Amino acid sequence: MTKRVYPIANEIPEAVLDAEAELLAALHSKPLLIKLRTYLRLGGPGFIGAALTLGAGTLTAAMLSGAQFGYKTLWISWVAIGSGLFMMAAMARFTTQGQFRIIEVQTERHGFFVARVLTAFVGLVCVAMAFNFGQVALGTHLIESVASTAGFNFGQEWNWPLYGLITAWIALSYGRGGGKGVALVETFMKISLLIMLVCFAACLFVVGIDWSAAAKGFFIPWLPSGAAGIDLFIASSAAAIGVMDWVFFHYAGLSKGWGPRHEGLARVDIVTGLALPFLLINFVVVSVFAATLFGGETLPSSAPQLAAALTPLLGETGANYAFLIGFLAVPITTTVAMSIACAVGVHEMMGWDPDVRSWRWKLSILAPQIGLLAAFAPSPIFLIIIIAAALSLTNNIVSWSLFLLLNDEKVLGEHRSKSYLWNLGILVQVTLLNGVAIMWVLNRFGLWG
Amino acid sequence: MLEQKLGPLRIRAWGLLLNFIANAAALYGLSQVLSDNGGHALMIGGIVLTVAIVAVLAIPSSGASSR
Repeated sequence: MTKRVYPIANEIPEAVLDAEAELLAALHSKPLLIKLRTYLRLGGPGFIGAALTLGAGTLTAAMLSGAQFGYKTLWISWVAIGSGLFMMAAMARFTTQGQFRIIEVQTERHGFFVARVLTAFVGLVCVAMAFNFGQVALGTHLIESVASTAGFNFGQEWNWPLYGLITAWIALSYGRGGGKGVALVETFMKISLLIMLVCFAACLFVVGIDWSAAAKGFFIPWLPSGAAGIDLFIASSAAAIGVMDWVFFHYAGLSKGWGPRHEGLARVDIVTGLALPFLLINFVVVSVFAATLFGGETLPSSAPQLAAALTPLLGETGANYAFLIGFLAVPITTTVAMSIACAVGVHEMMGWDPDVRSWRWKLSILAPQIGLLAAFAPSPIFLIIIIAAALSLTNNIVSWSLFLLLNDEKVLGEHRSKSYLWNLGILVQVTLLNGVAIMWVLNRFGLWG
Repeated sequence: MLEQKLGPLRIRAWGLLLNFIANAAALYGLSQVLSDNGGHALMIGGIVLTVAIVAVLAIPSSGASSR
């Protein structure tokens, strides 16, 4: 067993990592398709990141956007993911060239509060615990809907153990079996993202798409007038990628034993695993709702209401199933990813080394399953609002810390950022995140809109 | 230059704080403009300051100054 930066990678044989590195080095001379296939096979943290960001909240926002504004706000998705890529590249640098645990280095350079409280506790643990209520509420509702479409009754109050068992089993597999557990979770995420895409695309095929309006919406920026437009732009563009996505990508890379030879792979993984699935799935979901519910008199406000309003419009039973199954993959993957992120967060917050066989790790992974209560009780809205507010107010401070670390010679030495464009890209995201925090305060004091 | 310490923080960190203040000024000014209570000068000042600070903060560290 080799001692690595992050103990989850200890059981991965050195020969496996050497073989990966040789394969990556030999890729330069290979055709594009072979390169892409290899990158897709070896990548993984990006796909888990896509599952994290494509949760109930993001998908509900995409549905609402399509139903309310049609295709006009499609462009926000590429601005959101585009501005986030620069910070994700910084995380890839910390993982591969830095070869350290980011929260430990943050603690040394920026103190306990920024590292362990704002990044680990608020950004990972609290978010995973609070936002899993929404995933469970949606997931169990969708299981009930699938069952109902098939003609039998399997209500939320009965199906929640199934939801809990599936998500807990997959999440608990992470890190077990010398890299096989990590590969299992990554493969599950890749297949689930493909299911989402295929199912939503099938729905879009049934309802049709106005390609000209979609292209216009994707490339030409448009916002509703007044404060609502600014609100929508800043919230949507800054919400796609945040602390959990940045930090989890880093630890997921370390869990695979990624080192300096993997930086190229890590960057490709961010694009093919995170950005492309995010863009494609957002595009398809917004388009489905733009083609069906846009222009209607009453606008549903929650994901279950939106789904209920859409399914009769899909007409065919097959399309109904496709939508429900594709949609069900959304909360399941997010719960799994958030459970692992929670365990990482708890361990980094406490300064513990992760041991996937320990009760400490297992309990930390299972902690977000408290959200199963959402299957038969109202979600703790007050708690979720407090955590969402804490996140809005602190996301930007964590981004300052990461930007400083990327430019810190004492931390990265020769591998610090030497690119003006890279720094500029991160600063655009930092400024958007500042905007979220400032607008939260202005809203709170009734000074906005 | 940006890596030199000025009091408890590096200049780059002070720059991030200043950027936050400029962002707040721009958005507060914008909220005033949207509610027809003026605020144009504050908004424009905030935007100009934001652009200037971001343009300076994006300069990578040369290395020598931080040693």
